[in-house]
Amino acid sequence: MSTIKLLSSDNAELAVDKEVAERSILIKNMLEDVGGDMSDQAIPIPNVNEAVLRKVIEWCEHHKSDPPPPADEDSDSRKKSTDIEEWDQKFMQVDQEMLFEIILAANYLDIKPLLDVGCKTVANMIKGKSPEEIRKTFNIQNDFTPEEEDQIRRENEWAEE
Amino acid sequence: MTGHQAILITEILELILLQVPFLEVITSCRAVCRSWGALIKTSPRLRHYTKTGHDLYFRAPYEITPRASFTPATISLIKLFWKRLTRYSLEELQERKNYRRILLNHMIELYQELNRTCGDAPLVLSPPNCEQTLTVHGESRDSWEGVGFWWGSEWPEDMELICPPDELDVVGTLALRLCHNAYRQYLSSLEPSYLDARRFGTFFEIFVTRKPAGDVGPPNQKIRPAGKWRIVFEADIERPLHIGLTGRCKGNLKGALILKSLASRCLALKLCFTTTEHRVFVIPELLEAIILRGPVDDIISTCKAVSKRWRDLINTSPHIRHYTKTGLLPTEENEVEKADKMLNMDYLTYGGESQEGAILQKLLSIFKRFDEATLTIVVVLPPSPEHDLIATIPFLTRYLANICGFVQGY
Repeated sequence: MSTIKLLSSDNAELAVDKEVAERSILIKNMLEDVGGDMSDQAIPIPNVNEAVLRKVIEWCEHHKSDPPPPADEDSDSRKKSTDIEEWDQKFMQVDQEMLFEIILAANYLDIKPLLDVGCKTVANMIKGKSPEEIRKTFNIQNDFTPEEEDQIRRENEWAEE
Repeated sequence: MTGHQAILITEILELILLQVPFLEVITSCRAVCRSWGALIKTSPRLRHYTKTGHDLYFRAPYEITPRASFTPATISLIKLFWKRLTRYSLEELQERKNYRRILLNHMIELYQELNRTCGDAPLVLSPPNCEQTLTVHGESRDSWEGVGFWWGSEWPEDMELICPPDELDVVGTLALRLCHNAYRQYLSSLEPSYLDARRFGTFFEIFVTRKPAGDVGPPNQKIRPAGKWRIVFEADIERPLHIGLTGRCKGNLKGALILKSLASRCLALKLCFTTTEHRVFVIPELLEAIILRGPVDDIISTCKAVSKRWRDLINTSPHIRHYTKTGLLPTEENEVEKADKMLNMDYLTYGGESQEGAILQKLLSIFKRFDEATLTIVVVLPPSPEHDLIATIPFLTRYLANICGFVQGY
């Protein structure tokens, strides 16, 4: 099995099986463009640091045998559900900074299933929370005026059970 | 303090919110901060999601599901509605003799609340890629013979065939649409009589009375392009127009045909997916003419979401406003005013002085607004206390029957 090297933003070189790395559509396309031979040269991943890249590779290794995602996005495989399989749940038990970095990396590297798991994890953190709790959770500034807040609260009353 | 970079990226926040239950998106999430609120309001994908509960980019609602069905959003809203209704009224209902009125009052309040926020959500989506639309003829008759679905303009002789059970949902969906239109016609009639609710056939019926003079039905009812179906109401201004509805259909109208017929949202959805706007859509007169050829349901829901220009035109054009209110296309300007007056008259003359009348009057106006905007939930109300409340949707019937036991179902 051939191995390729990935170069993180903080210049760490990580060796990874080609099959594993190709879970990233970005890397897969890149390898196809250069004819598949990158054995002597590390592929730069400028947006992802070593720690995050290792996590992403860990996820790709675990999921390397997963069936490939359908070519088109119009698939039922991502039917709405915030269910996350157990291994992925544990994998995502990281601090918030790392979670978001993984999401960004998955987005950049074009790893849709990982992006999906990341988004579902964040969505689960949002579910059932009040606006104020969401702000606290994600450190978001409340930039509404008190009047605007009051207005929204009134508008939302209908949905209270 | 600001959130993490990842949730500042619109595309990623959009993906995250698509995983949050839609009710929370339109309530808690939009109240988090301006940028979240703005995204939820403006992103086409999130707008679609918050109206339907479906992700615009996935096929599931339209193609994997072969038939029209309630959207997840609908189901959530109705669940919420009933949950609240139960909470507010169950205990009282068990104790009080005037439980019907209590129930109706709660329904009024809840509908009003729901309507404010969800008024423009399409509750039933049809497959978008169908090329056929269904022709439904309303037969003007003295007796309650109902309305069937059939091909062509002649009343078929073999109308007695009942749909197989697995097609009843489809017919039910069609029934809702038909009921919606019939109800609107009822509201625009000059001499509204009571909704004389009676059970009929497998589903439900809604009755309308004499049509106002001058109303000749949808303007394009005579146009029937080859290979296409159209929803048509045939009006006979000389006789009372009775529109009932049954689960019957003609033998050669197969289930597949009915399924393919549920295409009334087709045009608007296609337009939504069109990336470049054709120049005809930029000319208001042409756009108006095009919109007026679409089904009312589409205009008040999907078409409004196409663009700001579309929405503004739909909100301001007298012709479109009249059409979405009545289902009729006015031929002259003064007919718009006349129709508006008629609508107002309905409310003034309908209820009379009695308390029941006042309640019904209030309910009618609410139902009219709710129904116009949402197209589905139609409850046929009794004209007087000795009549029973008829729920037109099976699960609604079951629910009401469970909590108060007086609702007639099917």
